Amino acid sequence: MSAATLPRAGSAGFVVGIVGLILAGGFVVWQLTTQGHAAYNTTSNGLMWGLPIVTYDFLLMSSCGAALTGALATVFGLKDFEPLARRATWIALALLIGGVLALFLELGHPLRSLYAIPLNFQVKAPLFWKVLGAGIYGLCLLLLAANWIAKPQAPKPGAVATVAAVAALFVVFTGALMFATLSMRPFWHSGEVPVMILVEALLGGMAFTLLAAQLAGGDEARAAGNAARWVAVLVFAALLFLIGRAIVGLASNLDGLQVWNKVVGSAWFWIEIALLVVALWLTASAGNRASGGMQVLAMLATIVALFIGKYEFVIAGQLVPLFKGSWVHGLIEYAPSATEWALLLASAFLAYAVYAFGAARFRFGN
Amino acid sequence: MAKWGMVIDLDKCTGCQACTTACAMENNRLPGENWQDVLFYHEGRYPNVNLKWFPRPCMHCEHPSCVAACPTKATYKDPDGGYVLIDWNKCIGCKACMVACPYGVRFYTDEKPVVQPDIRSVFPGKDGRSWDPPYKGPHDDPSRGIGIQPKGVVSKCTFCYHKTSTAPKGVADLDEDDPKTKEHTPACVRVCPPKARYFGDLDNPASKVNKLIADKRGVRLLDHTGNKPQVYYLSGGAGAAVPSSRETNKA
Repeated sequence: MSAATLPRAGSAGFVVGIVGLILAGGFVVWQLTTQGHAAYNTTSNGLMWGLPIVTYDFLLMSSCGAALTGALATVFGLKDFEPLARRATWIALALLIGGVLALFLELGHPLRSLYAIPLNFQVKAPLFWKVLGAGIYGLCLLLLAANWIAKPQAPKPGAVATVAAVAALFVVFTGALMFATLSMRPFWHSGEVPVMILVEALLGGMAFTLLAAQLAGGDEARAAGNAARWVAVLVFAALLFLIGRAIVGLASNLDGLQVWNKVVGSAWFWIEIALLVVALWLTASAGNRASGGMQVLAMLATIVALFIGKYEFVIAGQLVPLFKGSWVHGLIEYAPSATEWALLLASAFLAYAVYAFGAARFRFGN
Repeated sequence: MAKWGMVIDLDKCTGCQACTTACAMENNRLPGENWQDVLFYHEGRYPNVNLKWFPRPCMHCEHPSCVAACPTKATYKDPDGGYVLIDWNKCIGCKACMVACPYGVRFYTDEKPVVQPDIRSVFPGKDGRSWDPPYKGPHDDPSRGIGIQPKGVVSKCTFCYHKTSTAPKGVADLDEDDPKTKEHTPACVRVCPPKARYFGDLDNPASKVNKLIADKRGVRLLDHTGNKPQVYYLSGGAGAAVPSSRETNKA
């Protein structure tokens, strides 16, 4: 794709994103207006966080990963990522906005959360620190967008990019703590979980960035091909975490880990592994890295696998009922409602619209 | 300053659910959203089937994981009485406390009804409340999670704060048989037909709850989580027991 056609493609993408957002978001709003949160299939019987939280967490973690991908060039000076840094940072902003939409349509009182979290200083809560970090992170992204992305001649950002990277790391770790510190849920309660979530966040953000760069073509596509070896390393690490956790879970007698039987028995688990293996194959060999089509396939496979993994992680951690007795006999059954799927689409379309707006308006490459 | 606690004698509990009903009436609960539930478990297979039951209120833990999970201090530990309460004015409905509770005692009203038909559609709520039951208790204190639950927030057992917090100072036990403390006794304790429940000050060495815990070796649920419940269970093995295994356990 030539540089001249890029703005036109971005404008068309923006229109697609907005139309999708209106359709999917309209359905969600209609359902929430008529049914309230009963439109979601979450219940007090144990499955409290459903697909909306999966969507939010996936988009937020991928956003942080994209910001860190940009920081590899702006903060750490890695040449591989220099042509990609502006696009990565804009993608981080787009994914963050999409994630916030999913969260706000899931919370009982989203507007109250805007002041109740920062003003009550619950320093014991990981979510307090996460929101604090996310606020700083979002502000830094906006500053980078205004002072660097929007100005092609601007020099490489210094302090703001560093603060954004630190804030992104902080958001990932505090978000992971919310899961890892819960001793009553052995599926989550593990020291390696924050590291696993960091690896998956970085991988997700990098995959989104390289996918967009491949589709943009030109120098960015070549840079994305070179940078794909980093994806191979991260995919390998993600596979190790996934397989290692599954083996430990299957072998352990600890009550709560029996949910691994269900996870491993699901076709989605094997699809996730297959997609990661395909992504590893496509990004590990130099020949495949030179092929734009193969790289698009690799990044799509990575993104889908990571989303399946996030769904497994968030949902499976809640499937063992805690003291529900006669109300829930076995593992909790959960399938997302149409409204929850529509919310996923609405968030994705919003993120895409924001991204396409930037693609049409700004020049991302060097 | 009292630290209220409850002792439930499982050898006496008959699983009649009078506690559940009394709690629902006292606290305007929606059908099925039982702050004080009696859980029934089936263990084994025919012909060797064992039916067990287990009464389960909020544990009002000494170190509650729900408090540490709440990002707004909506869930808090009241140092005066040791209650774990919810300030509905601060709750944002993120449900982190529900995920972090080892005992499954928290409820979010804005969901599909636990029991059909949906009574909320029969008695629709007013002023942001989740429903408007024909009978309502006289107490309404959203800052402590008492009254008709508003939409979009989480609720749980308050140890009948509206009754127990007004008990005479220095009293060791709140007993329905004592005229001085009868009206201050939690609803579930007051109605228990076999008198399987006791409520008193865990910080008072003379309280009956402390004697029972010491004499009959009271145990707390899931102590390994570090929550340190203020609800203790007594079981000599003759009746209902703390569930040791469930269907979801590995063989």
